[in-house]
Parts: sequence; structure tokens; C-alpha cells
Amino acid sequence: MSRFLSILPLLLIPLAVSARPDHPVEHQLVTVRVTYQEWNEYRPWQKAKPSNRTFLGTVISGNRILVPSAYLRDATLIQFEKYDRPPRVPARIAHRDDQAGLALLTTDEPGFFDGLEPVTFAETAEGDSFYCAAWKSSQLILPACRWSQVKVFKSSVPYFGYAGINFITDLKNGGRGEPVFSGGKMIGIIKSQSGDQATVIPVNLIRAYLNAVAMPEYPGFARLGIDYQYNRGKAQAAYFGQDGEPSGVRIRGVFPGGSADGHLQIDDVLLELDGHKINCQGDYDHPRYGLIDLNLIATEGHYAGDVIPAKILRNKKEMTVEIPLKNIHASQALIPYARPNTPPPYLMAGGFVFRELDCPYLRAWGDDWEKNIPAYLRVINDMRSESPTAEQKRLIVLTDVFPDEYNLGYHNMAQNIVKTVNGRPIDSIRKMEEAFQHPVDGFHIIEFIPSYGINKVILDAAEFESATSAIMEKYQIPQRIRLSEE
Amino acid sequence: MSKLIKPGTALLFVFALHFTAQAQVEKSVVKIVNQYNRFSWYTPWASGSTGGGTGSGFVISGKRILTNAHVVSDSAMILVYFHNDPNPYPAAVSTIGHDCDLAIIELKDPARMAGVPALEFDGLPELRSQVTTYGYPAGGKLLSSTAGVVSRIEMQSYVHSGMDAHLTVQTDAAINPGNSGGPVIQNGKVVGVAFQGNQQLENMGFFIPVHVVSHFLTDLEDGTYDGYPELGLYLAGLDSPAARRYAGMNGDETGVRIEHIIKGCSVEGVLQEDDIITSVGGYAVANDGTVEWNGMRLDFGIIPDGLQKGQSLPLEIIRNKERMKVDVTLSHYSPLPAKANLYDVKPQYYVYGGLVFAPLNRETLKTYSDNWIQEAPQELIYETYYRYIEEDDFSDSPNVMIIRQLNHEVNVEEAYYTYRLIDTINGKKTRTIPEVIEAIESNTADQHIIQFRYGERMTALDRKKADAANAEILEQYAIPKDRQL
Repeated sequence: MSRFLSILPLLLIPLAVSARPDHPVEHQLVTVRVTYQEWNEYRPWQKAKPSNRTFLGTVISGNRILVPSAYLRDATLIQFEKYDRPPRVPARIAHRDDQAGLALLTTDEPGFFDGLEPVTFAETAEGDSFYCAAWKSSQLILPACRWSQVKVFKSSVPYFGYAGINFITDLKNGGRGEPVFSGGKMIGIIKSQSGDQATVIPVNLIRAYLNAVAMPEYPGFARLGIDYQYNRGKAQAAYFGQDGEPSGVRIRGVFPGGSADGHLQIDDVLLELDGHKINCQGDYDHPRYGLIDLNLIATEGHYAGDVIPAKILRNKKEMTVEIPLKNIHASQALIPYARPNTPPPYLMAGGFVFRELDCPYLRAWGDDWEKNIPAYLRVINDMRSESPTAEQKRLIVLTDVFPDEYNLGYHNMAQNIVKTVNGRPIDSIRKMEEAFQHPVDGFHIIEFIPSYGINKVILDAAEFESATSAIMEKYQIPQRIRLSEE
Repeated sequence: MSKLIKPGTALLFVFALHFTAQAQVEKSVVKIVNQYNRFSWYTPWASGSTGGGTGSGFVISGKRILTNAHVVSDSAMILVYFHNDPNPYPAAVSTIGHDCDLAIIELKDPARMAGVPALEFDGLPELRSQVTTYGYPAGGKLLSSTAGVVSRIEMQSYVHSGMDAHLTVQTDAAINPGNSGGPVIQNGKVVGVAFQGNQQLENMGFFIPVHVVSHFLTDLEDGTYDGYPELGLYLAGLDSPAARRYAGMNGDETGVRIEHIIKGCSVEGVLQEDDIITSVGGYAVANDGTVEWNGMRLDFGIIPDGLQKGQSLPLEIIRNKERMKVDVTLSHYSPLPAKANLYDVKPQYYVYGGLVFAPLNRETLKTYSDNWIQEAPQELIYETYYRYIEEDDFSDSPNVMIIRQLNHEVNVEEAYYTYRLIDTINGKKTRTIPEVIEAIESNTADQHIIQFRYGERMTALDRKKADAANAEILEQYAIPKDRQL
């Protein structure tokens, strides 16, 4: 292997370099084929057309295959192929963490791991020359990668920070879990690629993930859950009682129920976190990456459940507070950014389709969905997506009305946000179902957050159930309700 | 959707000339050249963008010329040209109604009006009857006329203000840029004023019927134009039988339900949410919100639209299943102008420490980007167009924001937030430019602290340094004065 690496620099120019068939990397890769079927977010009782994706898994110890978890989304069938050649064997998920973006697969097929070798991990994502490994027409290729920069990425929960390394690569159309090596050791796996830019999950996070998997109970990674503003200006710093050069950042919000909630306050100036000095732009000096976003501190070297100290300036006095790190699930946001591996909760009521409002639904408006979604949804998404309250943990949106005589007068309604049903506040499909059990004087009254158009729907309660059944029959809707998993 | 026909910029079309009664009309139809100066709300101290646009107009009683508001908006100078007369005659706007896109201009020297017949008005033309438009499309020197039929009459939005809807007549007589403000004639009398087109409809133009013109002319009889009153109602149709039963309506009763009442509008205190309006001004309201008016089904807004501020509108309603008669005295809604396109006003601003404070209105919103509705921070859209509908107890009122920062040592390192609603400055609630000035000028603390309404954002400025830097910043950025109120 080392002999091969010494000649690698000579091979950097050609776009894809074929290695000889018995190269060791060949025994460290598995082709994974996933059949998947997304939920139809608009018709939440049905699924979209099934499709397939093929990507790479990396063999690690314990007969496990490491993959980026995003490729497992909505999987209905998972299969392995050794050496990119048939036969395919059935595989299954041993563990996944969609926040960290990593998953482990395995197979019960006897003998599958014969001839496969676990990859060797580098200590950290460091090296001089880098290359990745991939199959092209069943030939192993080892395209070169050049280190570009490190960024802190959002995971499926916004602001859940982890470092991703951008590489410029000769790999074409990659971003499918290809392992990246330096000196024969794996320094990360590619999670996505755009043009010649590949984003790599570094081995540091992979090691931390595997350590966590080995624990009796998987702790998950933590999200700090703060909003902050720069503290570059001397006037602002002086206002908060800082003399000299401004440092730290001003806290302007904490995610409700998140790690910092109850520990950091608005107008605190966060000076140090877990021993790292925070500069006035919210960066700290990372030993390997240089200046990088402070959100990484909660993730790197820590799991949820750890407690980290924070030095702050509060009411012009320096003090230290302890922040117990918490894992925050996507579903804790008012409008969840993702809904990993769960179908959309919905309710069909008298031809009205209600569902929980989340970003997967809003993404139906295309790549530029944040701009193109209906006006009022855009306002709520921009102003309140991260702000659940005790009374309003989720928003319920009317997606559509299936026309029938029963719901005459309301056929053009869509995208309204439910406020109450029969006078009861609504923030879940479960509460909605419960509220429909209590009609008012023979009517069901659905009130929406006032906007342009109809804000109140009145339905006959006596006919409600039979009309719902008839509409479901007419429009071939197999299931009336799906509750969220609680 | 609807496209405003801007004066003076368009392709030439071939017109079918229509000679009947033309000799009488042509003397009275004028070409109007508007040299406009439109100030920038983003650089509010600067000279505006200037240019010339042409439109049409016609002579009415009292030596007045009637035209569209959009033909003479933001005018720095107006010239009027008469038929077969090469001389320009300077004129000035005497009344402008942006809400109905109508304006009156008068010649500086009325002598030229001698012998020019005033055109007379007729009523609403019949559907499918023939009409002829007169005007100067595409800025041509000679009067043009085209004939067509009345194809539809309905309430439609008037794009000039962007916030109003009134009665509109659709015709296939060509109405092109430059036609704007010209008369639409039937049997020698005016039945409307040509004013806008629609990109989605081919060969269709729209004119303002006499119903709206008379409202405008009646309004200004007392010397000032007050504009249309606002009922302040958001309504739901009652096609749903369950909704009608719930409201206690009998089988033959029809009407609409009040969904929301805007605080500060005409009906406040008289009507309530959930009231059912069954009759407006004696016209029975159908479940879709229409009334039968002159043989047509129109939105019931046609009835209050015929009334002036201060007049009373009798309504029949059902409240808590009781039948009642109430009268609504019509009034204006003062926050409305900030939601509409603004013309003929100099932008307000205040520059302090390099921060440019500006009021929140549709013009300042438009400075954010061409696609401001989608791209601007949504708190601004919410505050302007949603909050007064969403919140029952909300009193719609002015707001201020920082529209830009002029970089200077005193501000450049401080956190700053443009296009965000300001809540307080130095602890004082600030919603207008004068309030901003007062809060800043009365402050004696070391810093000025600006707190924003949403997101707990804040900006600090060193007071003494900012005071000292003001003159230099104005000088550096060539700003002649620090404020315009």
C-alpha cells in the first residue's frame, strides 16, 4: 500500500485513476443499493414513486458497514454488493444517527464479510495528500482530493454544529459515501458533492459516533441552541461593561428547552465556552482547523449529558455558568427542519386534510421554497420556525379540501393554519382528533389564524363521520388519521 | 397580474379609426406630457429620477382637464397639447386621487380653454355596446381613436395604488400606453376614462366608469379630495349550509359573515365579528357577497363605493341569531397610505451616526429588492400586510427602521440591522422619525441603544463619538441635511 501511495502524486493529473484489481481498498468497500420511497407530503397517506440509489459503504470492525445516513432515507430495501459485483445480499440498519449523518449497516448473510477488511482510521483528519476511493464500471478508482476548508455545518436540526471538510476532488458525480484516505488511513467519508467540491465527514466525528454506539445507551450529540450577535463594536462592548478590545458574543436568544435554555440569558456576553476563548465574531481557535464557529464546541469531544462551563459577562460582571448539553430532536422546533424516518401525521376530516407543518412539506415548493411558499407560511417560517411555546408546540396546516357537497363553500381553501377546533387550541393532530369529539351545538367549528380569506369553517357535526367516510371512499383515501409517535 | 399602463412607453399599434362624433370630441381631448421627478426612498436626500411621460386627458366643466393620477404623478412640470395646436400649455395638478387613479389638472393660463367644449358624462354603458377610446397612445402627436365593445363590468384592483379595488369596465377597444387618461365615448358622451391593461388578456383594456369618476368629482366639490372611505371588513361567503344554519339564518336568508374587523375603520364599534350582513344600502347580499346592481351581479363593495366620507350606510345584519338594522358612518383608515404605492411625497429620513432611519412603508419596502415581498425580512411584510388582520386588538400604526448604514469608524464595527423594525431607542418607544430624533437628541447616556422588535437584536453607538462624527459623515456622503420630516 505504501508503495502505491508513493506514486500517487504522479497520478493526480488524470481525472480518474484505475487501481489494480487486488488493491487493498477494494476489500474495504461495499456497494450499497437502497430502494426508497418518499412520503407524498401533500397526500400524506400515500408514497411517491419508488426509486433506487447506490452508494458506498466502508467496512469497519465488527462486520459493520459505515455509510452517510442520508442515503438510507425512506429505505424500503437495503442490499450489499461486494467488489461492486453481484450477487446482492440483503442488509439491515444496525444503528443510525441522522443528526450526525452517520449510520451502520450489517448483513445476516453468512460469509459476506469473508475477504473484506476493516479500514484503518486515522487519528484525526490530517494528512499531506488525500485521495478517495470509488467504483467506476466495477473498476476501483482513486481520485485525488485537495483540502479546501473546514466549515461548521447545520445538521438536520439547524445549528447543530459539526465540522465538515471541503475538498476539491477529481472525483466525478460523487458524494456517495466514498471514503477519503491519507497515507492509507481513512480520514473521513464524503457526504455530498457539488461540482468538484466534496464535503467530508471527518474521522473525528466518525470515531466519536462509534464510541457512542459502543456505550450501553447511545447518548447522541448535543446542540448548544443559542442565537448570538457579534460583539465587534466598542460601543456595544462598553454598554455590556467591557473595557478594551471587545470579545465574546452577545446572546440574543436560546432555543426553548435546549442546552443553553435556563443557563444563558439574553444580553449575556459569552466569553469562553469549555475553556475556549470566543472571539467577537463567535469563533474560537481550534487546534487543527483554526478559527471556527463556536457551535462545534458542544459537539466535538462531547456528548449530550456532558456539562461544559461557560464564562460570561452578565450585568457587567464576569461569572461562570454550567451548561448541561442536550440532544435536541428536530421535532422540538415549531416547524421541524426534518422529520427523519417518520411519516407525516395527518387527519382527514370532512374532506379537509390537516397535517403537521414541517419543512419537508414546505420543500414541495421547490429549491427556493423559503421564498416561494405561500405568503403567510413564509411569514411564520421566517419569524417563528424555531420558537415553540408551551401552548404551541407544532402548527397544523390545512393542505387541501377534497370537494364534496358536505364541505360546500370551502373548496378553495388551502394553506391556512389551524387555531382552534370547537374552541380548543390545536397544536397536534392528536388534539385535533380529540377536539372533533366535542362538537358545539351540533356543529364543528374550525378556526384558523386570521389571514386573507375564510378564517372559520363550520361543518355539520351529525353528518361529519359519514361524510368523511364517503369522501374517503370517493377519493380512495385508505386511512383517516396518522398520529405522531409520542 | 394587472399591468399599469405607464405613460409614454409602448409599441405602436394599428388603430381602426372611428369617425362618429369625433369632430366634437377631438377638440376636447389633450395630450399631457409629464416631466416627473421621483425621489428615492433609499437615498432620500438625493435628486430623484427624472424623465418625461405622455398620457391623455380631456376637458370637463369648469375649464378643468381630467386624466389619470398615474399620468401626472410625481410631476415637476406638466405640458398640455391640444388637437392640431403645436404649442405647449403649462399646467399644474389641482387635485389628485391616487386611490381611484384620477386627477384634475388646470392650465396655468386658462385663456386657451376658451372655445374648448367640456365633454359631458353619461352613465354606465350596456354590456356588449360599442364604445370609442380617444387619446395619444405611444406619445404620438395626432389624436387616435379606436372602437370596441364593453365586454365585462366588475370590481377590480386599481394597480396605481396597489391597494384599491373599484368598479372597472373591460373593453376590446385598444387601450395602450399613452391612452391613459383619455375619454371613452359612447353617443358623444363620456362613459369612462381609459387607465390600465392586463398582460394576461390579449387586446383587452380597462376604463374607469363614470360611477367612479363622479365619486371623485363629488368628493372634491368642497375643495379637497378626501378619498374613498374604508369599511374595514374581512368577510367569508356563506355557501356552506352548515355555516348558515349555525348563524341562525332561515332557508331563504342570504348574506356574508364578518371574519375580521380592522381596528380604526368605519365599522368598528358598530359591527362585530361573526355578524352576518344580509343587506347593504337596501341591496340584498347573496351568499357569495354580491348584490344585484343595475342588472349586474357585483361585489357588494359597489354600494359603499358610491358613498363619501361621513355619509351613512344602512346595513341589515344577523347578530346572535337576532335581526338588526344598523348604520355605519363611513371614515378613512389612516394607516392605509403606508401600505400603498406612494406618490407626490418627499421621503422622510433622519441620518445619525451614519445610520439612516426611514419609515416603514411600501416605498421603503420596495427598496429592499425587486422581489421584496418574498425576500425582505418577513417581519416587515407581517407588520404591514398581516398583523392588522391577524390581531383583534392591534392598532395599526407607523413604524421605523434603519434602511442603510453609511460606514464610518463610529458605526462600522457595531452590530447593525437594516430592514428590521425598531422597538425602542434609549428605552423610548420609537415608531416615527420625529420620535427617533427625540429619543436620540434627549439621550445623555454614554451609548445610544437601539432595540429591535423581533429577534432580540440590538445596536449600540457611542453617543459622544457619533455626535462628533455627524457633520463629517454628512459631508463625506454628500448629504445636504440630516433630516427631512
